[in-house]
Amino acid sequence: MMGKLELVLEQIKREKRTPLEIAEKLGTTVEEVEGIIEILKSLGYVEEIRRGSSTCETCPLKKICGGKCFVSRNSGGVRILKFRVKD
Amino acid sequence: MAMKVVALAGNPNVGKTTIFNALTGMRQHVGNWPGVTVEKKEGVFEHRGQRFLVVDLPGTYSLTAHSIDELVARNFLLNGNPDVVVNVVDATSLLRNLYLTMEIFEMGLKNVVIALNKIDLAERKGIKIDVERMARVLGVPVVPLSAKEGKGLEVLKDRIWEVANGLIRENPIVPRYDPEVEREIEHISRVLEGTKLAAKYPLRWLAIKLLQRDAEVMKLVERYLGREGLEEVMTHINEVEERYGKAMDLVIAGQKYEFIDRLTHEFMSYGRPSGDAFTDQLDRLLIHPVYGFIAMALVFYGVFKFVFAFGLPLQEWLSDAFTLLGNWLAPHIANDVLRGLIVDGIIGGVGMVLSFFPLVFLLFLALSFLEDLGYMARVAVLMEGILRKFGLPGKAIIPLILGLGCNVPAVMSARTLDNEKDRLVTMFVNPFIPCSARLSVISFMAALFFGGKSALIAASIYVLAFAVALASAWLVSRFVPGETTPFVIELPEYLIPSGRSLLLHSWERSKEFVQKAGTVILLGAVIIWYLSNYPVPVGTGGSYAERIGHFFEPYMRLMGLDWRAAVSLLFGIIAKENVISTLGVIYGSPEAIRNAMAPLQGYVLTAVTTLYIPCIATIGAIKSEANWKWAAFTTAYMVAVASVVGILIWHLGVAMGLG
Repeated sequence: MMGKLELVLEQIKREKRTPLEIAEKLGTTVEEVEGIIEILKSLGYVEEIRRGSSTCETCPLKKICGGKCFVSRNSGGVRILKFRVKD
Repeated sequence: MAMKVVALAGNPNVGKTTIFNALTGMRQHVGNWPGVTVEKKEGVFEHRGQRFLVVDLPGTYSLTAHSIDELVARNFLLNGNPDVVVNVVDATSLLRNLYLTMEIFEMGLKNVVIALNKIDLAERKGIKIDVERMARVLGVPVVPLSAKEGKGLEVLKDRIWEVANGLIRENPIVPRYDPEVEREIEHISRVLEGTKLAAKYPLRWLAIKLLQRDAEVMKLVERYLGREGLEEVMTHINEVEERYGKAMDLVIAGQKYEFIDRLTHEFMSYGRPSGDAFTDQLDRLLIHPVYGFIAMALVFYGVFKFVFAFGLPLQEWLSDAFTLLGNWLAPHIANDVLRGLIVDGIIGGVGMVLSFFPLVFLLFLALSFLEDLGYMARVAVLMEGILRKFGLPGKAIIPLILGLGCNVPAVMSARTLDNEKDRLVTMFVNPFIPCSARLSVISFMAALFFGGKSALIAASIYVLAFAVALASAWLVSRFVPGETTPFVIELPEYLIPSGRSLLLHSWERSKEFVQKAGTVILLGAVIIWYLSNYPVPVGTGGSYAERIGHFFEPYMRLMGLDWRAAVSLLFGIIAKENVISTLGVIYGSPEAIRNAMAPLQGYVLTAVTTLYIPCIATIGAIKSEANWKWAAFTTAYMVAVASVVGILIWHLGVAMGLG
């Protein structure tokens, strides 16, 4: 029988897109799903892809826009965390 | 008396730093952990005559050593000989936090104090924790506190002092796994028994880590048992994994989590059913496949309505101001050429672009508001579902949203996507997303030709651009092979944005618009003024601009446009705002443009400007991120699509009697 960790991983693989969707599917709370995702992340099964500053740093237009385009807005911006399931 | 060492361990964002600061006050030292660039914070406090050195460990969710932070924390707990380990746990997310606690307990440490932080917040959320029972179940002292309010810190100091001085005998509970896992733990423990490792590390912990294929522990075991010894153990683990049909790290982590879940039932309960928070209900609506899109359409229509309602009067005022400036300046410049250049070229061209600053600023203000509120993340989720249906990877939503600001970093951010197909398709469709430069053209044309309906017209151009992007993605993804990987989007909490932050961010973004007006657009305006006035003035048919424009005119006629539109589109390749300044220089004033073109022609020109070609910088970004062939294909495809769309809109419009 699968435990909650594996169930969450399974839901991610089945293209449930948000912790809310997963929580509803598994009958638990968003907080718990977010917690499990953090554990899966620390195990290396899920990987966070952030809008890092590297895009901005290497952008040829940095001198013109001064890094003030959407990329630089890590706080207060779109604030979405992306996760990738590893093999 | 020797200073006792206290290690502070815990998940990120549980209030560890607040507790560290509250314990040590200003007596802190910040450095780096040896050999790594992870911050090491130490501080000193005194309690009951005993001095304590507090070491703040990096925040981690487990001690699996997948990251440097985890390795640093784990090595200190294992080899740093702390006298007391204060494990800070967040009372509002106990399950997740106790996962780390169990990993600490499995290390065989018997000097742990649990600092149960945010207990006040947990109570407000309806989470009831029987602290005494929790301490009995876990086998270690538990101190409820609210570090932010400064409550419970004295009790925490007491417990630290008592543990450090051996006054509390601890019996930490350790997770128990299913019989097969326990059998394997025992088996590996027996293999390691009698080695020097057994004297340095708890055997059970070593066995569990080996089962989880912990790279650091494997190195350690190889050092003591030799390569053959390690291989023997690993062969055995392979067999176990084959029996389970999955990796043992997931089996162990899963069972550990279930163990914690059962454990918490003994001392924790929820006062109200979970999942009924207002924000959850709102999310269900905003990311709903039907209601979500209705809400999004209303929100963005509202945004454009706001931008035009407040921006247009300001734009008209600025436009009049530039006209007055030109009229005032003209008699003061004796030289005809210089007067023409400054009044018609610079003020006429750049001024017309600059007069749209209020609209650009207000749009950024509205978008910043939606972002800070947390709504854009919901839009991302909503759009992501659509993207997948059209062959784009869901993760492409980040580059596409970035494209609303500027397509260059948006194209570059496609490198975070998993495979070549995702990257190529995302880069391919990104230039269709109207960047802030095209926003000024859209605003200009919508305001100039459609007055009260300008919000609707501007919104329709955005819808058209996204529709073309999706259709193109669908088409091109048929021919580019590859698979995508699943992922999750985590939604941020809703926040009321601060006015100061909104104004600051909006200004930072729209400042670029003004800077560009003073550089690229100014240069473009000067060149187009020259081309329009030499060798003979525009209108005679012999100016350079007319000659260039007439070359393209037969083609432009298919879309109901003339040579002027051709010249403005040509200059728009350098920077899209040049489309406005070019029209300004050629026609002389916004009124002249309105008199010369029908609204349908204005709409066609806006649609074509939005879709026809990436700016030079974006083409360069595609070339550097993919190759010149892909950049050339993208450019050619966009020209073709814009032509088809332009011709279709024009002929449909004429057929409907709008021409």
